[in-house]
Amino acid sequence: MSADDRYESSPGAGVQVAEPSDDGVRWIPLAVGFGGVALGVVELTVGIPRAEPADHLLLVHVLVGWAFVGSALLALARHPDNRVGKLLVAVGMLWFVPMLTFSESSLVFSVGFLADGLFWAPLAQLFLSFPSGRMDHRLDRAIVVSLYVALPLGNLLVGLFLDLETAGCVGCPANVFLLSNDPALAASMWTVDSLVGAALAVAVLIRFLRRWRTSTGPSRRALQPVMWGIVPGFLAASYFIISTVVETSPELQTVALPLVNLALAGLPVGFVVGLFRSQLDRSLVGNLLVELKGAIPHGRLREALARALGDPQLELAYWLPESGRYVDEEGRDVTVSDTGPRRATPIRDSQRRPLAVLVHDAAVSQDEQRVEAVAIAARLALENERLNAEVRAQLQEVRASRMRVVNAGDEARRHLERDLHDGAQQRLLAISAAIERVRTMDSTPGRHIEMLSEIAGELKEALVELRDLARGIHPSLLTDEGLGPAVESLARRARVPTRVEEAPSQRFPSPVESAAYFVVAEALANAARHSGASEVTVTIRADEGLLRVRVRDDGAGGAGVDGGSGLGGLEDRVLSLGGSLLVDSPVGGGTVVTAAIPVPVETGHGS
Amino acid sequence: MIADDSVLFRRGLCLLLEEAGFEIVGEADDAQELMTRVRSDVPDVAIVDIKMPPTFTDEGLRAAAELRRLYPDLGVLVLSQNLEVHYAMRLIENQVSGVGYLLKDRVSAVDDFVDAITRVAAGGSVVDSGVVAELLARRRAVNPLDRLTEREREVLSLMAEGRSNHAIQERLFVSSRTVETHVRNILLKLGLKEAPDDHRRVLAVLAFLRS
Repeated sequence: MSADDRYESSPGAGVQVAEPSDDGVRWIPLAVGFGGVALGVVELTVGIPRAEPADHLLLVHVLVGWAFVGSALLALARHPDNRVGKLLVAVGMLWFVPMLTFSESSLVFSVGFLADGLFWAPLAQLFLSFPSGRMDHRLDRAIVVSLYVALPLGNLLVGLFLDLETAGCVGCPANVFLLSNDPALAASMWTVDSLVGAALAVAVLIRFLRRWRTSTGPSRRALQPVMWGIVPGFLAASYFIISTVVETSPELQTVALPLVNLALAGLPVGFVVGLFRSQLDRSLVGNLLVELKGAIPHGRLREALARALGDPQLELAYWLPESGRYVDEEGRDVTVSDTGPRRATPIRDSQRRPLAVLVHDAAVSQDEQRVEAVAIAARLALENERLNAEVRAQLQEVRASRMRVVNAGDEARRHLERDLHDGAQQRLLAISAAIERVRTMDSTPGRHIEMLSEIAGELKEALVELRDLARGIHPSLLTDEGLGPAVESLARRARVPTRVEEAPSQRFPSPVESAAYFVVAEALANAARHSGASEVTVTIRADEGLLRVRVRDDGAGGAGVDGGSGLGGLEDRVLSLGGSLLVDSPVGGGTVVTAAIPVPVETGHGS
Repeated sequence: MIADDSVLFRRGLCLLLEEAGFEIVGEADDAQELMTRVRSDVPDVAIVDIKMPPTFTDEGLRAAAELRRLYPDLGVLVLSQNLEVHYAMRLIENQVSGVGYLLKDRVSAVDDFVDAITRVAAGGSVVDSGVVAELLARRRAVNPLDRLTEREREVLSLMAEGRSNHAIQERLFVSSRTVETHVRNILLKLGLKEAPDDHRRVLAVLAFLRS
């Protein structure tokens, strides 16, 4: 199994695609190391004879640069794919670039001048993207881009108006960018530049603190050493900014500058330590393997994996292939999101089919091999748990369906009660009152007969109503004679011309016959109610263990299983028998209601 | 002979019929008892409830078939609490004559009830007007009954009920010749053949309405 196609996007979760690790390119760290050391040596050899800044200041400067380069090497060695290493390299290189100002050549000098302080840009990017190397927020990206632009631009703007000779730099080569010599303008440019820089620095700090506050688990552990490094770093930055605006005494400069530079060295140390801390503890994975050997009680798998990956907020969701969705261990629906600081890693089963997904802190995905190891170790346990989750999901559905059936039954009973109350019961009450009147009435025979006729009439009506009601509840013809005669009776009384094309002559278990009958009844009612159909055909056929009921009308279409068509409750009834109910109703194209219910297979053919 | 599992109904019916001048020769609780009693004393008409013990489905129908087979001169009137065209058709198709299917409600319209009994005793056919109404009211895409006039439809439903031309004439207060004309027109318009007798005519009409 090659490492290359480890993580493809999985269904339903927009998972990031990790590029394959480039094992072949080992010379980059060597080049970096060599280059960094060389640069440092150059700076020393060039700078010391010049004695421009004090010797010890120069030494400190080089040491800090080497600290960045060294940390870059460590980062590249451990996590070659991670941008952190590359950023540290950038900081280190840019740290050394200003020494170009030692050069005699105007061009080289000017480039050095332009690049002064540029190292802050990748450094800020480091702050805002540690430890994953990616910036998740648009604001963070905006701030960093602004820094990359503003820093050299600011230097340029100053350089346009600054003649170094006039400013008191003896023996400096000429400034290539010089437009016009205007020290006042140059000074104000510098102030603006510093203020912009200060604002951006504060923005970076605020965003970093926010990241620190909202981080959890492995990310938090990684950011902690960086926090320690920040304090001296922040002080250093403040000093630099303040010193450009406020005049500082040379004595303070000679003391403060080296200290400040040294403080900056704390940062690369912080980053490297943080990077190492974000790695998974090998022993935790070992513990997981031992745990998985024994049986894990239900619901504990997530905890075990969370412990092994060091992310207490790990989320685990199982993929149900039949229903095409993710569920948690209780069978409840879960949406997997891959945004912001959380990442989703898919886990596949031994046939490469989707099995589950882990949603974890972004820092965890640094150590892809560990995550892979954990996933493989837990595969069997995950498959078991997935089966459990599937069963639970089905149970949920069954419970929901049962509830609907019970509700439908209650609803039907309420209707019945109301119909009896409003109809037959009222009549019988009226009749008993009339009989009472006859009893107590005076003895005019004509009146008696009149009253009795009236009573007889009411009784007839009551009988008719009760008869219809009874037929609506459950037609005795269905019970006594079966689907054929019952459905034909429905067809005769339908409000839309209805033809029974085919009806079975044999009997079926009574729940099956009921379900089929009521599907037809409801479909006929719908055809009359909604669609304005002119003809309906009913076909009922039993073959190969399935009773198929089809009611087709040529009305307006557009009906659905839900939405007041009355077919919703029937769907549950049909489903509970292991069957299916489909409504095919394109708008303007008529409606076909098809129900298929399993029945015991005949050994011979019915007559 | 009256066969019905409800004692109350049997008593009521007995009183009604005795008032109307009939002689009740026996009563039965179920089909088996009915057969036994008929064997010992064959009546002119047997009035049988369709639902009786043990299954309460179609015992009455089966008893009617059996009785007609054994005693061709015995008329059987089957009473039902519910109106089911299916049972009416089964009865008429299998026996053709000397049988009737009536809703129990009709018992209260005494004159009509007596008339039905008399017709069945004479070997005619009786079909409840409700059954006929349901058959006539059936919605069809193309309704051949639309070709008939209002009057002709009235005559048709009376024919379907099993009435003779004479009976139709009396009900509609027209001359016998008018009735004959109507009947001929109806048969022509619906494409039905002249039936040799009234019973087969009923069958033909019902079969037509059913299709």
